[in-house]
Amino acid sequence: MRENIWKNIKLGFKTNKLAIAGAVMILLLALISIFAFLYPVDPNALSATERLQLPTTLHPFGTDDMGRDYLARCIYGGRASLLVGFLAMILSTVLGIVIGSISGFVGGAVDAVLMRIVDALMSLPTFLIMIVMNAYLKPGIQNIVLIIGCLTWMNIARIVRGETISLNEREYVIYAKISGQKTTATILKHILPNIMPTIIVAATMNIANAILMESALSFFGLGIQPPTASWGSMLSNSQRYIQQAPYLALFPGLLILLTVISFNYLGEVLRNVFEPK
Amino acid sequence: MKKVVNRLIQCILTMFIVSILCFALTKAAPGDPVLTYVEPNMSEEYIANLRESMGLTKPLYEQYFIWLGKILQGNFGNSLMNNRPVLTQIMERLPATVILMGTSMVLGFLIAVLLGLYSGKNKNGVLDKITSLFCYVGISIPTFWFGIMLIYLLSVNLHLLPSIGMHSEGDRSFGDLVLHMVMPCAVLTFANASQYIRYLRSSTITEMSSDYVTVQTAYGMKDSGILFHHVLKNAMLPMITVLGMSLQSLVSGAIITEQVFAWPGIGQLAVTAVTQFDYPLIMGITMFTALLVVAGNLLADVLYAVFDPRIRKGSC
Repeated sequence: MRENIWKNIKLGFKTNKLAIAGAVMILLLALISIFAFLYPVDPNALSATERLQLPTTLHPFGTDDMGRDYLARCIYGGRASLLVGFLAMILSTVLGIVIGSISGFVGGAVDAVLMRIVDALMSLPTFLIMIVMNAYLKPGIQNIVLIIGCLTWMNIARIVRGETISLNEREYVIYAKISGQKTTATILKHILPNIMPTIIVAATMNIANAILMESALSFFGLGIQPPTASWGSMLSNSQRYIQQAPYLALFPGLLILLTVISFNYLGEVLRNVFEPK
Repeated sequence: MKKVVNRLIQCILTMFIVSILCFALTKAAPGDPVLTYVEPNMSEEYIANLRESMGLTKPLYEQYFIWLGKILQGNFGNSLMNNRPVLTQIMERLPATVILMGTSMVLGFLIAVLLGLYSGKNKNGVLDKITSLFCYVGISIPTFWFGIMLIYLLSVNLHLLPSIGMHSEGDRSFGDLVLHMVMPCAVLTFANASQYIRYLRSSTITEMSSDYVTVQTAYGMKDSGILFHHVLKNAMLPMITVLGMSLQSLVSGAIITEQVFAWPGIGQLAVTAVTQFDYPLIMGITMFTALLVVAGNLLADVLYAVFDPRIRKGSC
């Protein structure tokens, strides 16, 4: 089964040029974020004489209102965004898998209670809750990851629960249960590998969402705090200089769009690969 | 009938859990609510009395039920910022948000019906490819960035439209309102339409392969006739759920857009409440929206049963 999946993925990418572009884009962004130190400019170095300079060879993306090199800020901002996106995705996936599989496997009252909690959390408007939670927690990377992760696990929990229930009736799972396997072992060995593809698709799209949410939170000044660069806060700062320096708004916005669209597209391609119609 | 009762109980339970979450958040808020009323010359005893009269010495569960009882009577408490009732403030802001979101939902829906049906019918055609690109951009674009770019292009550069607010100074005419609405509405319509199109397109594809379409084609009915008379009706069913789910966005959905365009709606109120640490106001808006979410889901289920006889006969 697994060989098949890899073959399908290869085929999916071969027939879809845009999918390759998306994957390359993500890879590139990840590499740039990891090797950010190779660009030898401090993103927080102020320079009073170089305020709001148009893009030049010295500063390829220009400088911002405090004379900081905008390319360096864009690179480090991307690092923050991707970091938050990945960590929040991991947190939400783990939460979703644990809660979903418990709910589906144990069933009964536990299932009913957990699913009502999922319903309640899903009926809260996510973004509103995020800004509300920010009033309680100190803004910073850990808390953003925590907030986003804790508010986006529900879709994965639902998927995992549904699949677990349907797999519960399959012969090999019943056999595993009868032969005295422990519950956790059954879930880990027999159920999870089978729902991994569905989880991967949901997780990929969760990254896209997390990055959008992080940038929106930072845009409101509730996310990553200055002077640390983040695409969202750079955008909110750029609003004041839109007349003199429109490029300040252009670059971070385009970067967010490219990143998010790449993840969304990749998720869609993977979905088509895993669930051929 | 049994299913309806079950569904209602489920809704009440959901609201109950939401209210507990809200109450817990209010309690977890940093700062002592008594301190708002305390003045330096008050004695310890007076403060203790005040605490008792505010019900803060009672056990937590008792405080919760008192709080819940007040909410059920529509009393969301007073705002800490200006001491005005929370509900009044929400109601004042409601029309602005509903006008903006309502218009963009209707526009988005109309665009989605046209593009979704067409691209679902001509799967993999040129327009389908363009539409799918449109959708990807629509769900991936940060709304605040799109808003800023529109302001830069249409207000700062071309001076075509007013950049912020709902009315010009001293001008309450309808035309002025429309001018102010163009940009925020465009941003929201783009986002809404791209979401709706995806649902409509996929359900159209499913419907197009069903027997009744083949039969109608064999009878020689025109494509457009089949599409609008038969496919649309069936493809619309899943849209009921989608629209029901977006009922809450009538209130909360425009937080970001309202902020960018300084639109005086609920979203802006929520952001102000959070930045001012105005907990009663925050909780009021949250509860209000959650209520709409539950109501929207319930409404969608009811409408679904009304329009789809299979569900109506199968369950009740």
